[in-house]
Amino acid sequence: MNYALRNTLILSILLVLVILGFLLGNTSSVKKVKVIKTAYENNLKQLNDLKAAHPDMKNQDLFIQSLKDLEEKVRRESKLIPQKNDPTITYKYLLDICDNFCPDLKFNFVYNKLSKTEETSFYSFTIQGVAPIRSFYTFIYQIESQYMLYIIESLKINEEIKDDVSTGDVKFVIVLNAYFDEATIEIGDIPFRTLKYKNVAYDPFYSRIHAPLIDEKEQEFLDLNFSGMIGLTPNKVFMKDEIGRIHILEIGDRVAYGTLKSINWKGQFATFQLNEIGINKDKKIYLNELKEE
Amino acid sequence: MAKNKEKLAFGIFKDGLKVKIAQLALSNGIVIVQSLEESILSSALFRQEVENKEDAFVPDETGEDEIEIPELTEIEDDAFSLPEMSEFEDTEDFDSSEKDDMLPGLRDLQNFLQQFPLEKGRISFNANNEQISYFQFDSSYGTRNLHKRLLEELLSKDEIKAKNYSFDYILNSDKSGLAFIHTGKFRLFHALRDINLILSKEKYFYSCIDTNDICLINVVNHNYVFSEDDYVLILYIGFDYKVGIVLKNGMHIKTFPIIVPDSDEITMRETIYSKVLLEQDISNIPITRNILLVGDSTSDEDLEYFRSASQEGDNIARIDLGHLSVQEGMEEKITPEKIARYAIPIALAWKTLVPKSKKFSSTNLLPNRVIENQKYFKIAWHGFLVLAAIFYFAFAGTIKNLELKQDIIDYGKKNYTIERELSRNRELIKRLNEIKARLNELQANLLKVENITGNKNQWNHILDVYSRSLNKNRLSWLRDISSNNDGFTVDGYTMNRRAVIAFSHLFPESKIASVAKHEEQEHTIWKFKISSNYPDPESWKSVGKEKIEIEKPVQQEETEKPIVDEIEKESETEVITETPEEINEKYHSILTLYFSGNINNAFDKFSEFIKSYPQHKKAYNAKYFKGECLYLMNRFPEARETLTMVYNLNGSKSPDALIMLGNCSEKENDLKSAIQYWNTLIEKYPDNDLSKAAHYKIDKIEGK
Repeated sequence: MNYALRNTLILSILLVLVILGFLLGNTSSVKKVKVIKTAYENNLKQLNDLKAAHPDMKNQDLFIQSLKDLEEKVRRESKLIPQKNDPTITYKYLLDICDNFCPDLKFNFVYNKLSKTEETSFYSFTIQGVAPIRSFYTFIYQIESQYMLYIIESLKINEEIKDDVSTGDVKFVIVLNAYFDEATIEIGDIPFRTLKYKNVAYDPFYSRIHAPLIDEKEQEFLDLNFSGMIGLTPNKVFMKDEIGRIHILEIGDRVAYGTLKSINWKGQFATFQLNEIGINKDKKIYLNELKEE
Repeated sequence: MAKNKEKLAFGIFKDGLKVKIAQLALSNGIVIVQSLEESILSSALFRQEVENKEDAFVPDETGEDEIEIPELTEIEDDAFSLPEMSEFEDTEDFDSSEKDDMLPGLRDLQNFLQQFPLEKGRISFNANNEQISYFQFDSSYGTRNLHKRLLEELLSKDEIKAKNYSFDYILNSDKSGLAFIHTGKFRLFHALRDINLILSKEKYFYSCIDTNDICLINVVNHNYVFSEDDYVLILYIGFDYKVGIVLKNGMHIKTFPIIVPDSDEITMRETIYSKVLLEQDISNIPITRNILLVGDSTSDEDLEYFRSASQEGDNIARIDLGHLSVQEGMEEKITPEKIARYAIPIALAWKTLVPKSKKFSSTNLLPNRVIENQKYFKIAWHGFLVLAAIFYFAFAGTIKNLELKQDIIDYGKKNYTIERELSRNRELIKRLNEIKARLNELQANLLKVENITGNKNQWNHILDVYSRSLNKNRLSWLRDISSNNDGFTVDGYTMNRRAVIAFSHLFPESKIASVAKHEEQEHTIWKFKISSNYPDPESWKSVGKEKIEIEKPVQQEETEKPIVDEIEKESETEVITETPEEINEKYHSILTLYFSGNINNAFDKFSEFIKSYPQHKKAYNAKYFKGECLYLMNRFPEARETLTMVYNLNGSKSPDALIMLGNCSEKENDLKSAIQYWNTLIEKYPDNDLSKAAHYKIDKIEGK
């Protein structure tokens, strides 16, 4: 056999090997393509199914925003029910509030009962005391605004009056419920909320009208009840007190519990503005006639 | 190691019945003469050789005429590495009867050759001089279609068509040359082929067939350099082959035969020299100037004779192949004389070892077909066909494979993208579910707390509302507040009956339970009782978050309007003693203090003023200036709080508050916020002079 024929035979074998090699290789690749295509189609189907099953997937931002809003709401104003509460915890809690925010509030603490709503148990207490309105306001503001769930079930407030005179304080009686639920969080995990300072701008119990107050400072001024007008000019009023002293008054000058408001030269009288019982009252005094309106 | 690199070549020179073999080796670039042997055959190699000795042009019936016309052949280098020679059985017919009837000469040759490892090297041999025709051509022939024209010169058309020849030529630098053609079959080649079958399983590798003349010219050109004008005569006296070859400048000039009668050596020498002189006379060329003796008559006696016979100045020498090395340790020493005797076989073997040497002519009479059939990697047409099929299938298969791979990559990429999206979406859904769960948990907790709380826990708000309302209606006050099942009841007094109506609007579904006249301190007052439901916490919490609500005072009767309405009752027992004018004066004195640069004092005074006269009309301005004081004291958060309050009141100082709020943010490096404040100022108060200042500040920050 010559070399040419031999080489042809070798090449033929090589050809067969090439064909077989590519056939095998391509068959393997075809299988791979099939496998990966199937996987791709399955994944695509899964993806489409997933998208169809969760149409709200695109609204994740909305959910996140809602969550943030809700968390913010909880952080700002909501309350948390502790796993545990009892009279001791509640009393300590109230004392902490008093010591930190309203030290002049004193109260009596009475445990009433242990009850249960649908799911949540609570202790009921009666708190009774006297305090300046601002302290009392702070006290209930803290109870109502802190994380710990305490409910002021009922409340009664009134002005404290001793010997027919207001002391400036209020008396209060509060029925307070302290809730707890074993399914919620540890009391130690409930933080103390830092609240913005807030208080009443005006004491709503303050009585505007009261009995005339005896004020020693006012005694230094001319008491119109015990004096009379002896002279009048357009700008000045001449008054004589009970011991005969002459007082020359100009508009705006102080008298006991008030000031000289105006002089009516034509009418020959002077008008004083007085406040003895909590409200202003004009008092006219006529020359010589000692006529009072 | 060196032995492994050794390449062997055998030059076989058949001169009549005498056969000479030169075994040369190439080792590390050095050509070494390893063995020089000769033998005289007892007869011719084939019967035809004897019978047709005189008829060289009779076509050979064995099929030798199938040999193709040889081209200008050149032995390939790589052919040396081929371990086997190609087969000739199918191209060269083999007459078994001829083999059986082997002539003694052939047997002698076989015996002679078996001492050489011919299968391990390459074999070159000479062509039978009797079968060769020469044609000397000059430069006028040119080079165009030279091959064809030379053939036509040497052979008839029929002979050319019969293809029973081997042809080659040498071309000199001046375009002249020597063409030679061998007709009939190469008997030595056939003999070697036959012997090969007997002696070795391995095929002999045939490298070259050269004419004797070419061998001699090659060996002289390779070893000598003569001046351009010098003529050189190569005087070869062999067994049958006796010639003189004239060279000039390495180029063949002429060849003349020398016929020597069988006689004693002296007569023979005289005859040869006479022939040389005769030739010199005929050709009128000084051929005796340089004579090189080659062949069998190269003994010292021969040399002595020729030198003595020549004229003075003639250069007569035995050919000296100085470039060759001689194998050491041989039984019979290789002398220069022996080398001269074996010059032709040495030339054949040498050319085989260094085929690329330019000093050897590239002629080769070995049929091209033989050369081709010895090529190890020869590919015939069917081989090319299969090769093309391999390329086609390889190409097509590769393309298909690449397409599939591309598909795999494409699907892989797509799948990766989808898987990533799927994974991301799963993560998203997981996160979404977590968010939803957290939302639900929070909502559930909120709901639980809200269910428990209901509308309770609003006492601070209730007190706040009444406090603010009574602050506007100072002729009213409360006696007590108490809760009931659905809400609370307020008991109070007022000197302004209409205020009760206003109080009844403070909370939802409030009902005036009773209003009764009451005399106290010679004044008529009205005792009232209002029942209210707890308010909806969301209604006031949302309002409270957005802005500070300014509660308008309830309408009051002119006669009952409180005289010192603006004065806040901080200390409830305090008697109001200052007139509005005095308060104004106080405000201006603080303002003077502020503008004099006493900021800390001014701040304290403004704070005190606001606290003392929260309802005074100047309290609003005092708040603004308090904000400015805080800004100047670098207490920016507090300043911002105060100024925000001023801005929210929508008063005359709101533009001022906005520009100051921007200043606070700028000081705190919150430029975005600063620009927002100033833009609000520009939008809400475009005609205000401060808007220009705001424009300027924004431009400054934005680097315009």
